[in-house]
Amino acid sequence: MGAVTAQPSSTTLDRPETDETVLPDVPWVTIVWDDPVNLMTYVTHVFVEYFGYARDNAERLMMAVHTEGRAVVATGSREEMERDVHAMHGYGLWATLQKADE
Amino acid sequence: MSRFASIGRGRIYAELTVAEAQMLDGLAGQLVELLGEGLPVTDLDLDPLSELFRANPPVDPPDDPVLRRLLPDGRPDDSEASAEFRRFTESDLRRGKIRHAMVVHENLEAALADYADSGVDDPTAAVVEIELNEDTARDWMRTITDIRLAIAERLEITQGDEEHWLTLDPEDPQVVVYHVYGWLALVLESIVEAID
Repeated sequence: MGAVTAQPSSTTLDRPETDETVLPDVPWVTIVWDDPVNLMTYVTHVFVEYFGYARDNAERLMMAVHTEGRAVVATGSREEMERDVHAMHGYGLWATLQKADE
Repeated sequence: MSRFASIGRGRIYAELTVAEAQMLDGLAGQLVELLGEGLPVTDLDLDPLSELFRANPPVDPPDDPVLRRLLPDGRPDDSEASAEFRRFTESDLRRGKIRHAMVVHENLEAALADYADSGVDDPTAAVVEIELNEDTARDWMRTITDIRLAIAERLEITQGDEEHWLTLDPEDPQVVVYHVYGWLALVLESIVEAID
């Protein structure tokens, strides 16, 4: 968690709830977390099939999930990341989304 | 040999024993029951579940840890956003998982019916033939993954605890389920390898 210097807190500015319509440049990320269940080959398969990543890139991401406990697997708008996280849950992967700077 | 192998043109094939086919069929059925909250769900009629969630969209994580793992929080850092995410996605996620498990169930039922029709008397010599295309293979991969997630949560399986399980009494019902979990990993791995 870094300091939130890039954005005023919600108490200083009366803004609509949807921050990203005000600040369209703030990207969101989809994070996949390690779990003791999912097979490495299956996780790689999911990254290739869903994201269309090249196999070596998918394998690198899978290894990052496995060894570091988590990895950013996609970056984009909040709506896109919600779609990705929903899809990852459909595959049985443990995924979350958050703002990229958090 | 319960491993899948490619037989060309995007199709994969495996032979299960009757016991294996019945066991997997039973597990797929339990998954449907769990995700469908015990409502009468069939592949063609997911309406009771849709009705339930339309009237009362889920916002809180499920109480059952297995359901919490199958239907995780999307925004654990922000409970309000997480509730919102769940409200818009959980019903769809449940119905998708049910639909995939129903395909596995139907494939197994059909294969078991073919076996019953074949008139083979000796069940130990019998094989249940399973042939999948690229679409049904995807349903199988997702469903086997969901079943493994459910078993792992129930048994509290953790990273690197294989040794622990091997030291327990092999007759212990939990250990029997642990071996099913391991068998499912082999089946899943063979599907991934056969279609990739």
